[in-house]
Amino acid sequence: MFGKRAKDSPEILLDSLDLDKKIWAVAGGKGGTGKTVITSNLGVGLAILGYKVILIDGDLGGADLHLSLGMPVPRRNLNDFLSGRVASLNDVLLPTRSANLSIICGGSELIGLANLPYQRKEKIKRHISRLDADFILVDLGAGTAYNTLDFFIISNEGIVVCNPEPQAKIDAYAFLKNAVYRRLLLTFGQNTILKELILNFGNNGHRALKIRDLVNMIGEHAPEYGEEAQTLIKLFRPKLIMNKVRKKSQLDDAERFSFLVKEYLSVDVDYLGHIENDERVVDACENMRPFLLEQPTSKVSLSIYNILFNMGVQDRQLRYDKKSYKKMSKGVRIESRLWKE
Amino acid sequence: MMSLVRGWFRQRLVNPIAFRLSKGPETEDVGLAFSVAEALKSPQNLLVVPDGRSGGLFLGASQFWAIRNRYPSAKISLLVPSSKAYIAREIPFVDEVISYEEFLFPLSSKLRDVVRQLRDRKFDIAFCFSSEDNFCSASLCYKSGASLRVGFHRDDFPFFNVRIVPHAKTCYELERLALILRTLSIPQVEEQVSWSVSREAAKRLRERYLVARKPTETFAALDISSTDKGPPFKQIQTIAEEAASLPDMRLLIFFNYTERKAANRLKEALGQKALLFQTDDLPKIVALLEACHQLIACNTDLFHLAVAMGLPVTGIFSAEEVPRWIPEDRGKIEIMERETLQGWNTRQIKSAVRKRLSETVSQKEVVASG
Repeated sequence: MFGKRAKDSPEILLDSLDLDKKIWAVAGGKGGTGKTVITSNLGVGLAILGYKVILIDGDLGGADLHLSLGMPVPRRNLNDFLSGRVASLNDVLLPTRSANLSIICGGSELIGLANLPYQRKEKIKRHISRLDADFILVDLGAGTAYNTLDFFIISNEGIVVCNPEPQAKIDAYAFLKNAVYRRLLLTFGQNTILKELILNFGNNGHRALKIRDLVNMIGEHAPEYGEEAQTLIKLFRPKLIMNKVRKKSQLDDAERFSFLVKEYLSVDVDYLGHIENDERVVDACENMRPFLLEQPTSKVSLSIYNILFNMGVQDRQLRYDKKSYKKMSKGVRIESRLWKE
Repeated sequence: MMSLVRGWFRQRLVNPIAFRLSKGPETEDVGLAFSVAEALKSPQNLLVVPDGRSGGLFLGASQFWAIRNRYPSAKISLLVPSSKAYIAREIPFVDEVISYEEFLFPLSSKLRDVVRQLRDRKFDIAFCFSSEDNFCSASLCYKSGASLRVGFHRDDFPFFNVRIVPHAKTCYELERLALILRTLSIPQVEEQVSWSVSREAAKRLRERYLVARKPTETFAALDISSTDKGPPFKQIQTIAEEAASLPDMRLLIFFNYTERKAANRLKEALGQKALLFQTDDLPKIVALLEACHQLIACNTDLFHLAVAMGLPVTGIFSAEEVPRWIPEDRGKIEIMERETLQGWNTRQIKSAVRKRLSETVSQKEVVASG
């Protein structure tokens, strides 16, 4: 708390503890729910709010985050780092037209990269933690591969993007369920009895067993592990964004989804808000520009700011807050101008 | 204008009423046998109430150091408004920082909480360094229940049992603060406290906040926080635009909550040539100021910090503020009096800013090449 002073020296030497850094992972289970577009726009929104942001394309099988920021062919990408051509993630960091926003593009030229071996995964995690930014946003691929689940679990905030279609909701549920099992396996995987117990329980999913039954079974095996498992699940608080909403009734789906997750997985889901279905978003994607800059006054843009404020982000320049976010389109003028320059 | 009215309203009406209405714990009557010398001998718990402005803390740091030297084993608590807690937290001579909201309603739970916190600590001595017109600090000092309460005398303030008569004429703030310790025979420290950030932390902070920095780029700082009594916005804008127009220069604008709108208007006008920083973290401010070759201060908030850091400073103050806040030995300090500035046109202001900034840039280049 207090600055330091050498004995009898009139100089107060201030130190700064580790600067605050948040890692958000955006996932969704199903492809085409809008993860990439939302990630890029959340990044632009955070940059407009005054934060230093790094976007990482974590979709190792089908990288396209750079396209939504108007960068057709990245000079360097994550593959250069993973294959050892460059030593550090900082070397593949590319600037965007906003000084606050940088990007690490993904690449898909290396076959099998979508399934990273453990060592490489640890390397990438280590290097992400060394990046210097207020926010690091990782756009994860579809599906429930271990890579995706692991990045989702290590992040400070895991955001699930879902659509109102039943397929998307089922995939989002499956993603969260797998994330819970993965979390338990990573913690208790060394214990062969517990590992078997968790795997057997998971494989009997058709019987719609509830996670609290699994926690009870772990607790029966060893009470201290039971408590640990309970804490582990309690600490897991994914966020939910309902994207491409067309009808008011579809908003209730988010509530029902959260209830279902709580009931069966014992996980509290924080609902961040919804984004309406808007053709202009598709237009912005075709123009390879974030819709936050292309359509700053549209409802979809305001929804992004609403989501950011619901995530607890504050405007670093103290212009807007949760109550006044609807005026944010004004603030985008400078950012939008810079983007065009 | 509104803030002036608010200030007057708070100072003259709300605070006195608040004090009289709140039935906080009264101080014990120490009686006739009370000896000041005895009380000063070996106190265990000390309360220090500095002047609530940032300058009061930066300049007051050397006084706190003197108190620490005199009472090495005592527990020293610093009572500050919450908006200045970020500075107080970094002062190593105190053991604890107690903060309070600047606007305390009478009978409010917040006021009661602060008074309770103060009473719980059973202070032996309370030093009130705030100026004699600061009702809130003085009344909290009284409410703390300290046996010995030392502060500047004012006829209608019955809060202190040792009252120091301030200098008849306005004197330099450091001299005013020193008067309390001198009267109590607490030895002064010879040197003024200075501030710096460890090299590693400074590097980290600059990498985080000075985004897209070019190697040839230079920085100047402009502090517009607490400018309710400062120069009009148009003049500040002229100064900012001129500073930002210098080749390879970016302007770091420091602001606080009340000036956020002015800061954003400047950002809109200057675009990427300006970076905004809220004054809420001292290591960040020090690291960023270290990267600048000059500070233009429209108030005394960061002015004293920059002076203590040895940074060239241009202060824009009214003529009556100058004797209180500026030392006689001006060193790297340049003063632009507000009254003079009012008579100047835009061209004259621009020329003065350009001249001053060019001087410090060339000085820095000479030092660098030397």
